[in-house]
Amino acid sequence: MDPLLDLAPCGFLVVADDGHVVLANRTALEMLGAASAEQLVGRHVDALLSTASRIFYQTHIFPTLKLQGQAHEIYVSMLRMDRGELPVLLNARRRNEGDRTVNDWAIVPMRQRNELENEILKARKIAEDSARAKEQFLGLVTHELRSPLGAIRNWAAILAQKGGDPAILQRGTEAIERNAQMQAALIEDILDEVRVATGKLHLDMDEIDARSIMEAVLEGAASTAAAKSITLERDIGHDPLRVRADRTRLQQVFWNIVTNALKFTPNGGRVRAELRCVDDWIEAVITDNGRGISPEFLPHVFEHFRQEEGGAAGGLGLGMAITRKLVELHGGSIAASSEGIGKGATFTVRLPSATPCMRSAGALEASRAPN
Amino acid sequence: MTPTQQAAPARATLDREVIRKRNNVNISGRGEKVMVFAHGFGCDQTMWRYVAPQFEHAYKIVLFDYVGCGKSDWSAWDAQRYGSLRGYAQDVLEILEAFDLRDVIFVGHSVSSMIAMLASIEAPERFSKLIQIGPSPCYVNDADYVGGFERKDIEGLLDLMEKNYVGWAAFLAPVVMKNTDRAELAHELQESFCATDPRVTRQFARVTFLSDNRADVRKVTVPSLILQCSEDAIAPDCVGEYLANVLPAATLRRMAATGHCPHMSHPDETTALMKEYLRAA
Repeated sequence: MDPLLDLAPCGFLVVADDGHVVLANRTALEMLGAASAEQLVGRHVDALLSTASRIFYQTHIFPTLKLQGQAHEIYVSMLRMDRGELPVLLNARRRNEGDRTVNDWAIVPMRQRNELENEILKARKIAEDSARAKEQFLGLVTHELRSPLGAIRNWAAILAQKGGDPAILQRGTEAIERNAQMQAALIEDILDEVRVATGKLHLDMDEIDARSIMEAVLEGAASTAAAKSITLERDIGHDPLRVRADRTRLQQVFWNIVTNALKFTPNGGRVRAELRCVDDWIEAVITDNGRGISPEFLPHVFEHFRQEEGGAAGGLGLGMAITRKLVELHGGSIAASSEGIGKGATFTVRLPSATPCMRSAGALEASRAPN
Repeated sequence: MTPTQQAAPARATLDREVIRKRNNVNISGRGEKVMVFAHGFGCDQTMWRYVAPQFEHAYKIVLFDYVGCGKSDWSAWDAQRYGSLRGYAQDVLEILEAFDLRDVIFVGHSVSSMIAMLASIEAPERFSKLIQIGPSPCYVNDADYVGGFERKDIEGLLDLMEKNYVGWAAFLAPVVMKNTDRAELAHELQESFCATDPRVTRQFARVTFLSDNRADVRKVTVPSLILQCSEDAIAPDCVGEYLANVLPAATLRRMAATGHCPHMSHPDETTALMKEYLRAA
């Protein structure tokens, strides 16, 4: 072989039309980890390509070469002698050599570019997914904002006709108030979402008592629980549990996980709220015996705009995403677990305790153990 | 479970010119009997240039491109319709109907063999014979069935194709090519064979390599010739054998030709075996 070709800074293969390697330069041997030309010459290119690249060769590269005489800038993954994959860029051209046709392959490794492109592809996929999710979200927002509005308008029409009847007047104004609140809450969620997305969520940090906040949330949720005959159990101790937090936002976090549990628990079910100090973390654990979460959906519980398919609960699917963000802004973490559909779910929020755990909290744990 | 069939289009609405443009239908030849040639995944009707002319003296030859391939109308592509091979089978049936083609000898390469089977199950009266080159009813291994690939291999192929249209590969023409008022691009497209729309190719790859049509094979009533290459990296020998066993009225011919595109690499052998089959019938 021409020594210049042997030393060229790219791999060079001559491949017969039936796919068998006829010649390989030294650079190609080195790239593919072959000790001598004998290891490559006579082999079929199928054996030098990854499975995916083999399909691509048969369905794209071979037809293109045959019909067009050349193929440019094709990404394929070659198989080295040690079975490792080598991403390369391939240029190939057909030419007549005596009475036969051969294909010249020039191959350039592209490990770094390959990694970069993987990143680009990943980023593009994320961008596409997120654009799709936002589109769905817009549709959902429109739908969700419209339904309370519809109820309000209906009641306004009824009241215009029959507002003289005190019973109807009361039912109507209550319904309007309830729907307006629902809509306000939705708008609040959307605004929070925007604040989080644009980094404009401001926290008023203060040292406060998480226990009293949980207590207030449980009081607030009692009527919803009662309406569904759900037993709302509590084990939140009696001593203050100090955290550095934004009072309103912490309340929002607790409220979201408690009402979420109530939402997905059927009538007559059970929701249990626990609050304790463990290893200098304040831990809030909300357990229910409701609908549960499928293993497929579990990793996505805290993603934006995501709600499990078939969920009849409605809403925007923002609550849990905002909750996680709020917890994280407080330096904490949130986790969900479930044995599966129909097996209930547990949400655990952990926030750094402002003071070391008091012994009483530990003692409470200990005192429970023998029972 | 019987898959739901797509509702047949209203018969009167099939406009020959619309279909001609949509699928770039080209008709030639001097015979009465009709041969339709359907390209496989990754290419277009130009792949028949070595074989189809061998039949022109005796047959009416129909060539076409699937939507999104070659010089078809790429804007006619619809993710939902072409989300399964049935959408492609629908294209075939619409072509046959629009051009009033009956008792067709349908030559399908690779995935087109399956598309033809599906179409023939729906309208057997349109077909007289199926000639299948490198067919496979299922590419992914499943229990005792050997299709030749694992699912992750197919995922790898999809990734590889993505990479090739982040980039530059000429056969994956950028979507901008659709812009026909840019004459220089249209010209470029004319010069390139097997150009495909990346969006389409991505989904076509998915439906081609992840479809499992094994249950449909038994429903085929039209007689078939299976041309099985040796050392076919896409449709291995055991797949050809499987099909020959399961497919009613099938003739299996093993070829000396290697690879997956014998009609391009070994047109003489391919043509000879086809003629032999048609003569005997």
